[in-house]
Amino acid sequence: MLVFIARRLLLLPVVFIGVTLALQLLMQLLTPYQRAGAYVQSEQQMNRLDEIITLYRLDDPWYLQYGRWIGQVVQGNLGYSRVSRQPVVQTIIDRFPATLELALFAIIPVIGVGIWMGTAAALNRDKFIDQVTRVMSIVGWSLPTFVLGIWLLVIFYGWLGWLQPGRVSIRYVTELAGNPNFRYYTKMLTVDALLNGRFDVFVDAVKHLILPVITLSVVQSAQIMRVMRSSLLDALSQDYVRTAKAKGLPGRVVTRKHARRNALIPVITLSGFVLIGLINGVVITETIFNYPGLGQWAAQAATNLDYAAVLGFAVFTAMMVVVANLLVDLLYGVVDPRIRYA
Amino acid sequence: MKRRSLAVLAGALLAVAAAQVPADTYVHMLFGEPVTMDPARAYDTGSGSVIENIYETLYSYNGEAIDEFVPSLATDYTVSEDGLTYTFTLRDGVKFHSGNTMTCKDVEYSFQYGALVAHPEGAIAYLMGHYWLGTQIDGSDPAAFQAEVTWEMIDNIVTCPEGPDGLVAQLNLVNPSPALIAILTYPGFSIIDSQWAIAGGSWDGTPATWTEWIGRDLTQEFLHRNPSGTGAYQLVEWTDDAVVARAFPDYWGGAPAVQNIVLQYVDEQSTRILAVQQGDADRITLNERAALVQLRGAPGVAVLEEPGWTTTSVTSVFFNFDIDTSNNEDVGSGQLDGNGIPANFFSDLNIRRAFAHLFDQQGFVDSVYDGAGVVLTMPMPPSFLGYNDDVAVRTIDLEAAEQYFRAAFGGEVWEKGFQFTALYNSGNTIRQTALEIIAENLEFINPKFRMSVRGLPWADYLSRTAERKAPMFALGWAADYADPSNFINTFLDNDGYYSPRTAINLSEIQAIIDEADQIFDPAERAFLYREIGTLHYDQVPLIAVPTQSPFMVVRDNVQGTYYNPMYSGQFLWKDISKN
Repeated sequence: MLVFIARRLLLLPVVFIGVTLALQLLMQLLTPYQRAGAYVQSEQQMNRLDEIITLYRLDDPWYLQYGRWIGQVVQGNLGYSRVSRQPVVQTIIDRFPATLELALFAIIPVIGVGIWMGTAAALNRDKFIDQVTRVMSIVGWSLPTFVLGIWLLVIFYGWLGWLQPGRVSIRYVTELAGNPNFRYYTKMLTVDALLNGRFDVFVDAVKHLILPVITLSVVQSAQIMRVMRSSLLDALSQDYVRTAKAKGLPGRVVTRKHARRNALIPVITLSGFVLIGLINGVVITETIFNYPGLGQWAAQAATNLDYAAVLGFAVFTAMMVVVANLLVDLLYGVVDPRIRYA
Repeated sequence: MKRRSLAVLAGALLAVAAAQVPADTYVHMLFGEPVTMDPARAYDTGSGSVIENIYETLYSYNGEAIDEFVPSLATDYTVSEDGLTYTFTLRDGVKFHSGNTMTCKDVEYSFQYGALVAHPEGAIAYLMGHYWLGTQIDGSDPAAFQAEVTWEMIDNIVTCPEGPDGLVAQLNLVNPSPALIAILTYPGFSIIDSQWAIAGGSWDGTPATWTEWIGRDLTQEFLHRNPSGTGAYQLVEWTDDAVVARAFPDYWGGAPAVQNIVLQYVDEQSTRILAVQQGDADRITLNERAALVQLRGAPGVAVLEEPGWTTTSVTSVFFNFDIDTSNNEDVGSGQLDGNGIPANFFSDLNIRRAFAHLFDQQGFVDSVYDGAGVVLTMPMPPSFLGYNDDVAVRTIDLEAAEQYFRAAFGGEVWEKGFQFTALYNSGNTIRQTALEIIAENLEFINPKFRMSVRGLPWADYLSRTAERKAPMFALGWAADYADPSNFINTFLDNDGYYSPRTAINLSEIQAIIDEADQIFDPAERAFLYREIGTLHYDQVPLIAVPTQSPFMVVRDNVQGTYYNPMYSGQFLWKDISKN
């Protein structure tokens, strides 16, 4: 097992080099002037393009620029993000907990609802509930995140005034800013609020999570639902299920202990992709709901040609994918005892 | 019990938010986060809107009046006869947010720091260079900077006749400027807390280390995130999605009415609109005027706009008087042969006048600004000293255009025709539309006249215009300080900021610009700039595009707002209150 984990972790530097090299080469498709133009925010600076190229050495050969960047990375410096106005590493440290908080709140309904509805659909194949579930999954999967997000915002914020965008209400923004009595242990606001004994802040933070979580859940759970349904249908037709039924086991036991457990294996594989989907999804969702996580930062960085931030986000995402896949592989062993790692 | 707890929690979660902003807090939702809190590097609206409230300058604007200056950290000043020495008396007992007291050493430090960092992305490099150092070199090449600028020059920028802890500061210029007080209102000339800066690891203010700070990357330095100004508000928190500031209790001007300021950066416009409708924002910034239809008449929302309000940005269609025609696809053959234009095409006055008569000024206001705009008689904001609104404006008149084209180049243009491409930066629809209107109207004049319009990515556009390859292009300027010279010299001076792109060389206009630069009396200067307005009509050095009338969207309980276009936030936070 340890050898397996070590071998998978050794992939990290390979992925790192691959991703960063690809992005570096993509960036080189832009001329030094085009890259320097990203620093020029007004006509007042337009006569200084050459100086900016000199200052940031944008006309060096790509391998020198890449080598310089790698040299900094080795020292733990991923560069400076012009969008967040601070080092990339610091931005990731500051913003990742918010995204993780959102993802953790979302992953439970995504997987839970997906498995539950997929199971219900499979057990009621071709019945009304199955048809409804299938229609819902197609609608959910094909609905663009930004459309759903704006609909929810207009209805629950604009019309009903129940739920707000952002991470926390203004009264807490001003109260918590520079407040030495509120300590940030995890930078996940719901968790920190509870650790500080501030149930009011916790409730407020949860309220702000509802709409983005629904937005993420609808799209992602539709995928889980479809895979769970087909996988369970497949499992239900297997000989061991028929045998279990023939032995006289109750239907619920057969479904839960025999069929569903085996049907979960492709769902677990998919869960790794769901995590990636969530990270991709937060780029749009966080922007719509003004939720200050990594996704919002990445969207701003991409539109502002923030080279260091784009690279940093891509590297971080790639690392997350490798780790997520590793966790999925390890989960296989838990779900299916036949799978062992040498 | 468990169910009851869940019900309470659910109730709390779904309770109507009723999240009106508290009365002691002002929330502005906008886009464009600050780049820095360091006045020496800030050159964007996002940074300016914070810096102008936490730092102060020696003189400032009188409310919404952009041509009236009132004492701020200085109480008065005198100027020497040659206009090179300004002596300021500093306000007594002014505290920085750190608790330090402001004296001459802080003024000295602030100006010296701004001059020596000379950051090419910063605001004050070119102003400090011109007026205090006599060079336009910046810090991107420290060796070249040191070759031209000595420590003695830096040291001489400000002197303290009564010693560093005195309250007299003397500014020593190398080039006089009748607009110096206006220039000093620019936030780049904010007074920094020298003790705070030095203690935090910024430049130590000595000649031993000054060279280490030339062109330095200030984003990693102390003042980038840790301001200590004298303003009515002090920075509490700056994250990349919000700025929180709190009233400074020891502010010399008295406590402001609003205790907390929150700037929330929300990229999604629909979210901002919903927020002001719901009362979660006291003010929002909109991307475009068209969105106002969603807000007019909304309960509790006020759309503020007045006929006298004008922006301090001017967009113009520029003529290139000496086009580089080599390997230049935008001028066709580069000859006056019907398939291109020659290098000096726009040097012909008839050509410039003809093109001015192809642009429908009022039609542009009506179609692009929905009627809410101002036609400019000359290329500067109408609210500036010397703006001449008695001058006629050349606008759409196809007969006049034809007449001028027939006269151009001794009739050769009319006979042979021409073709060229005008440029704009992609995504800027206002510039694009201005050029397209001209191109469309040109088609009615003569089938041999062909003008294309194409957009380029920003950086390509800048480099192409800088190489003088663009025969005609649309660009703009936003005021750094409220003085006509900031526009007239920039656009029309033979040696101005735009001259590398236009090669402009109009002797009559130049003579008046040079004269106005030497005169300090406002009335005389106004007269001269009005003369330039008259000459602008006659000589057509460029086509000034109408400006859009500004507006503000606020909650109706916000009091004390005004519109001063020189402030990045249009008004100072200390002047508003909420009821």
